[in-house]
This record gives sequence, structure tokens and C-alpha cells, in this order.
Amino acid sequence: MWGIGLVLNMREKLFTKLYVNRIAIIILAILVLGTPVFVKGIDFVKGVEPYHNQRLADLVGGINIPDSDPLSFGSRTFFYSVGTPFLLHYIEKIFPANIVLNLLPFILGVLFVILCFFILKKYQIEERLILIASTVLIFSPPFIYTFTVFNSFTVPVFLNILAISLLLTDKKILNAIAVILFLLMPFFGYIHAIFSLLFLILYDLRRHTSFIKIVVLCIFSLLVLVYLKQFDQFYLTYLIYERDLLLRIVSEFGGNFGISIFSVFLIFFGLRHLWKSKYAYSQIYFSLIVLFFIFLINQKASIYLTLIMSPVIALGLIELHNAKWESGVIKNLTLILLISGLIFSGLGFVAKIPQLPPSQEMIESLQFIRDSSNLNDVIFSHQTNGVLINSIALRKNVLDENFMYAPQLKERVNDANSLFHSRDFEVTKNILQKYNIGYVYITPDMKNGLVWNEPEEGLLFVLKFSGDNFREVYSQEGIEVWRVNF
Amino acid sequence: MKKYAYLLVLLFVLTFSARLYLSFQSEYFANDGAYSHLRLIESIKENKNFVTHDELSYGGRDVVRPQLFHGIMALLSFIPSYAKIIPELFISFMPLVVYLIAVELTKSKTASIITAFMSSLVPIVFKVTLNQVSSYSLAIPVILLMVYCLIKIYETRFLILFITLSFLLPWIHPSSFLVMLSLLFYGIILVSESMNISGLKREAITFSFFTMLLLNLIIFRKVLLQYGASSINQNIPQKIFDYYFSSFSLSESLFVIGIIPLALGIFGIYLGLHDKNREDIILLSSPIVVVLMLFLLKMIDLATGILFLGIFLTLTSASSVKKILNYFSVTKLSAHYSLFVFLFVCVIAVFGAFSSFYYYENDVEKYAINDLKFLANNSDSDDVILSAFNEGNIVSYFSGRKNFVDSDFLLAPNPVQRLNEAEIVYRTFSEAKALEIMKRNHVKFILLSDTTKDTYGIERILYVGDRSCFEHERETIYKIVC
Repeated sequence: MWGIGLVLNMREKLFTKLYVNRIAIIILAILVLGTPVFVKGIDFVKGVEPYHNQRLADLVGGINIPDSDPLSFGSRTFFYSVGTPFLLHYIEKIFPANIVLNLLPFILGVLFVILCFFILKKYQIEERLILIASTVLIFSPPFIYTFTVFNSFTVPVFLNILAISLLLTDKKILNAIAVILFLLMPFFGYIHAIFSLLFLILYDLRRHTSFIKIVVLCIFSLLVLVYLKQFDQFYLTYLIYERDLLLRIVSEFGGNFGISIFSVFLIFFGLRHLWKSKYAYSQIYFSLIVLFFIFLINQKASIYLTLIMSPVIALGLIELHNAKWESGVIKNLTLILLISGLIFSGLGFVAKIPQLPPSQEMIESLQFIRDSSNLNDVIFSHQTNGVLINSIALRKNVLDENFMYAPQLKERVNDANSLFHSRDFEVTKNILQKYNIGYVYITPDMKNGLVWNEPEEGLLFVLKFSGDNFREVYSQEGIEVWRVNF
Repeated sequence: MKKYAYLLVLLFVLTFSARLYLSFQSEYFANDGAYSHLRLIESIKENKNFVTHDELSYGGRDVVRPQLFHGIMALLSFIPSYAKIIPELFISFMPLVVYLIAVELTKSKTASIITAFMSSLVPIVFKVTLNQVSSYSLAIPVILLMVYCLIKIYETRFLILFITLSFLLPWIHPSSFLVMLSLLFYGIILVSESMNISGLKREAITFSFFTMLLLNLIIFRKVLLQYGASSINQNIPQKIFDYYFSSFSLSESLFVIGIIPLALGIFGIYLGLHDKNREDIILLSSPIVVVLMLFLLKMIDLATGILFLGIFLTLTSASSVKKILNYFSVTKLSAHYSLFVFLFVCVIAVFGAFSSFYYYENDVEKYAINDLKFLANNSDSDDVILSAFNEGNIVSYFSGRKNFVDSDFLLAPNPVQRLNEAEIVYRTFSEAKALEIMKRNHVKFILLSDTTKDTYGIERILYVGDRSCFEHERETIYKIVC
């Protein structure tokens, strides 16, 4: 009797501990993801991507997928993944857009952490490891970005994890829902489908052999069907990046989707630990390699890489902690440093989010363009402003950051560079006429290093000293709008 | 025992006095870089805060620089002629630390004291630190002290000192990046050579590496965000690399490092690698290999690279010195051992002193400083003065006016364009082109010093004869009046 009581008591304590840990992780996720929402408020949407998705949601409208996007790059074929805009369109029928764009990522992020906790528990991973892995995940810049700024990865990443967790349950109905979710993945983008396939092949094939084979086959077929039209075109045509690869993949160097240098170091310790069992963890090595390559091609995929990396990083930290150190002081200081490094990169990133464009001044200036320009006017600006020109001013741009399948991309980039840097009026005039540009939109960033460093450099000089050919129609808080008069 | 202590004190006193004597020979500091540091120190003194923005450099720019050295200098500014004395005092400790390391490396005090003496006469160290206000004066002894602590890491006091210095170095000088890379390389070599690195040393290296990494990420966050990995070369434009590299020959590098440290240093590495206790020589040669690799990748400027080569080759030469002394003591001439040591020291002194004095020159003395001081009272505070990049700091310091370009390229606005435009203004025959550039950049005065002439390979500015546009205000100053 006493024995049974003791066992029950111990189980209760264990359950309570697990429960407390889970609550702590959820609170941490709420704090980290909630801080940017709290700072910026829910009236303003920060980041360019929510505006892009909002516009696509408006464009998709009903069941029919449009053939073209009339605003981006002057006008282009509609080659976007339709999953997110579709979903957004229907959710916004129930909730206001600003609430959806601000709170949905936050809610999905918290749920994502809970589901990860559940998945790791299902794989019978040690609780301390789960706790550290979840913390590492929460403080990672890719996680913070994905679940604070509504982007094309926010919903599918969550759905992928939801599908995995449903598949890991023993209930048939939930398994069936998981399969449906997996089958939806190709509509959100090829990266999500690849991750689904990777999980199903590497981690779950042994559990439900024939069933999973069919699902894998279906996803693959859907992937081919959805993207067949696009593979037909030259897929990786010409990608322009203003920043080097290293600057894009390392968060400390400013990569929005980059991974922290400290996590790179820690993962080596984690892998060293795993390697003690040689090929027993080959799925992890393989997933890391595949996801790393996908990450190099598309930095947004870092959330999937981080997802697999987090437990390995946690393992690295535990390995370092458990290793025999001759100096306890150095051991503690090193661990504090590494943890600080991880937290520092995450917190630094949290602080960056409220400063993401567009500012209130940018919104007002773009609304001014919307109200004072003609529907067919093309607005010229730096490519980072392109999506906002489409989404807020509702006008055509010359360039934006969605380079894939963009028409005459190379030519447009070269022309934009000539236009920005030439002080020759004739060159400027020819390019403006070529793209039927009606307005030039200049932001403080552009004048402070993004395009120019000097007050009368390139196009700034032409705009200022070309008489009546250009007229400054808006000038507030460093933002200038110039109307082209020819 | 006492003899060596006296000798060390004597070496310190000699080094310090010689440096002070040479320093006070001129009213001015040796070159342009010193005035950049001096402005920073004076700004800290005045505002009682670290500097984040410089109104005069490049017409106004952000400053990202470790400023512990400048803070210490500002604190000690109550000492008369502090800017001349304190840096010389810091760098005079270098031979003492070199001695301590050499003793650990060779276990021979005679060889160590000779190496310490050699280190006091390394030409490149002279060139970079003599009569200069430079954070190298503090950074070099600190780095060497870290090396010494790492060798003696098993004693608690050195462990504590090593940890403390790992925290301090990133706040003193960006060369902590180089130390980080050297430690990493050292670790890799030991692992690849299957050498059993002891626990405490491995732990200290790991800790130090991550400390410096984290602190550098904090200090240089803005720079890293802008330039990424190329921050390591301080955003020095290719043109400047080419300017220095093209005017530098192999023979010159032999002289700047010092012929004796170079020859004995390389031989020392060879001897050390064949020694049973290779760990220390690998530690000392790691920075050498890292510097050579960074040279290959053009990721380090010439002066910094040669400086570290010079210092660490001097350290590794301790093994060679010991070998030479041991060899002499078993020859038939061993009865004249003391005479041999004396002659050996004389040879080192002659070669070292000759090269050091040959390469030391005071660039600033060549300036008509009064011309620049004249501008302080006869120009508007917003006026920009055009000069070559390697004299921008002198211009700003003495005139108190904005320079167009200087040698601090980190976070400078459009440095490549400015360098090109400065070159065009000095070299072009087209007055219209030059005027267009100067008007656009609000340049009101042009400096044409000997340094400007050397930098651009010109004798005069071709279009300044136009009296309606240019007034010859002073000997080296032209004013734009149209």
C-alpha cells in the first residue's frame, strides 16, 4: 500500500515537473514573440512580407487563381505559391486584417513551441534536452522572424509541425488529418513539401511502412503537378542579392533568416556527441545536410534547419556541461558565454523587428502617391520598397524583391542601377520613358547608403537640377516623391 | 638570478628613456594615425563619454572603435605630455614580457635576455609605436601577456589574468580578431597533430575564444551588419591595399621585420618543431601562419600584418639564440663565451637600431602646420578641406575642420568614391571636373603638402593658376573662391 502510494507520489511529482517546464517554455515563447507585438502595437503591420501576402490574398479573391500580377515588375505572370494568400483571404473574412497579420503569427508561434515539445516527447527524448532545445529554438532569429512577421513561411511551417504531431498520435482520424495537411504542403511552396517528404521518409517510414509510402508518393506527385509549369521556365534564372551569402546566412551579420555563430559552434559539440554512436543518427545528419543546402538556396528555410539544429545544439550544451572540466570557473563562464551568445542574437533580433519598414511616414507618403497618381503610373524606387509601392500605393513598380520568374530581371536591374547613379539627363530620361515611370520615390535609407551616400549623387542631382522636368510633390521626414513631367 | 633582474630593469629603463628621448625630439607625433587617436582622446576628455560620432572625419561619420586605451589616456591626461609619455611607457613593457615567454620557451636566461633586447629594437614596432598615440602600445604587451599566461595557465594567478585579459583585449584593439583566429588555428593544429592538449589549457582557449567573439560581436555589431566577414580588413578599399602593397618589396619587408629576428625566428620555428615540447612553439607560430593566410586573402593591412610577424618571429628566435649560445659553448672558442655574447648583442643592436631608425620618420614635421592652424581661424566651421587620405586626420586635428577623406574606412560614407574623387581633383587637368567634385562635396580648401604630392605622384595642381577660382592662401593651401 505504502509502495503504491510512493510510486503514485513520484509519478505525480514527475508530471508536475513536466507540466511546470512546459508552462515555463510557453511563457518564454509568449514573452519573446509578444514583445515586438507589444512594442509596435496591433494597428501597424511591420515588415514588407505581410503587405505582400495581403495583396496576394486580395488578388486571389475567390477560387480562381489569376494569370498575372498586374503591379509587380510592371506586370508579371502569377507564379506565387497560393496556399498562404488563399488561407489569409478566408481568415480575413472573419477577423480584421491587422489582427490577423499581427496576432496570427504570435498564436501559431506559441502553438508551434507546444507541438515541438510534444513531438520531442513522443520520440522519448530526455526532458532536460527538450527544455534546452525549446529555449534555443525560441531565441533563434529564424523562429522569431517566422512567428512575429507574417510571411509565406508562417502558416506552412506551423501546419507541417501540426501534421507531424498528428501523425505521431495513435488515433486514425488524427492521422488522416495529418495526411491531408501533408498533401496541402506543395501548395505552400516546394520547401515545405520537401520538409514533409524528408520527415516522412527518414523518421516515420519505419512506423507506417505502406501507408507512408502512399502519402510520400502523393506529395511527390502533387509537387510535380504544382510546379511543373514553373520548372518549365528557367527556374533559378538570375537572383540578385545586395548582400553576400555570408551576410545573409549569419544572423550576427544581419541575415534576417540567418543562424547564430554560437549555434554553429555548439552544433559541433552536439554532433560530436551523436557521432559516438556512429551511424545510429544518420537521419539527423542527412536532414541537416539537406536542409543546409536548401537554406543556402533560400534563407527562409532556416526555420526548418533551426528546428532540427535546436536539439543538437542543446545536446552540445549538455555535452559541454557534462564534460570533465579541470576548472569549474572556466566551465561555468564558457557556458554562460555561449548561452549569452545565443540569447544575445535572439534578443538583438527581437529589438530589430519594431524598426522594420514601413514606418508611419512611409505609409503616409505611399498613400499620398495612391491618392495623387494615375492607375497606370509606374513608381520607381529601390527594390526594397517595391512591394510596399504595390501594396500601399497600389501602383506598379519597376523592381521588387520577388525576383523569381521576374520578367527581364537582369535588364531591369542594370537600368535601375544606371538610373540611380547617372547624372546624365539624357540617360535618365531614356530609362524613365522606357518603363513609363511617372514618379520617383525616395526614402531616407536610400539617401543614407542604400543607394547614395552624397546629397547630390546620381539621380538626386538630376532631379534637383533639371528644371521643370521633375517636380518634388511630397517631402516629409526625409521621404521625397518626385513627379516626372515628360 | 639578481643579475638578470638588474639587466631586465636596465633594459626597461633604456628602452623607455630612448623612446622618450626620440619622442620629445619633435613637437609633433610621427604620423597621421596618431592624430586620429588624439582627437578621440580629447573628445572623451571633453565629453566624459566614449565617441560614437565624429563630425570632422569624412565630413561627419559614425565611429566604431574599441576605446579602452583612449579612455585610459583621457584619465591620465592630468600628467604633463601624457600623450607622449604613456604610450611609450606601455610599449616599453614589451621586452619584459618577451623575456618571460622566452624563459619558458628556452629555459635559458641568457638567451631570453638577448631575445628581450632584440624585441626592443624590432623596426616595425618602432615604426608603428614610436612617437605615436596608438592603441598598439597597449595591445601588444597585453597580447604577449596573454601568450605568457597561456603557457603558465596551470598556475591559478595566470589563469585569472588570462581570463581578465581575454575580457579586456577586445575593448583595446581590433587585433583581438587576430588573437581569436590564432587560438583557433592553434587548437586545430594540436588536434590534427594528435597532440594531447591539457584540459585546463583547452578550457582556457575555448573560453577566451568565445569571450572575444561575443565582445567583438557586441562592439562591432554595426560594422558586421554592414560588411560581414570583410570587417576584418576594416573596410580598407582595394585601392589602398594596392597603394601599400605595390610600394612594398620583399627586401623591404626583410628590413622592416628586422633581418636578425626574421632569420633567427624562422630557424627558431624549425628548431622548435623538432623539439619534444612543440606545444609552445606551435602557439607562437600560430599568429605567424594566420597573418600569412590573411595576407594571401588580402584581409589584413600591411602594417598590422608585418607588425605581428615581427613580434612573433622575435619570440620564436629565442630558440635559435639558445641554440647558437649552446653551440658556441661547446666549441674550442668557448673560453671567450662572454665576449661572444657581447659581440652577438652588439650585432643585434647595430642591425636593429640601424633598421629602426632608417624606417622611423616623422611625416608630420614635413607639414607647414602653421598653414593648417591658419585655417582654424580663417575658415567657416562647415568648410571641408581636401587632402590625401593619409593626411586627413592631421588636417582635422590642426585646423579643426572637416576632412574630405582619411585613413579610417570603417563605416566611412562612400570611401571608394571619395578616394577616387580626391585623386581626380589632384590629378586632372580639367578645372570644370575638379570644381564639380569640390562644389558637390562643399570643399572650400585644397591642401597640397609633400605627402599629397608623394601620394598622387604630382608636383602641382594643374588648374590652380586660374586666379578667378583659386587663391593661393598659404604655401600649401589653395582656397576655392568661385
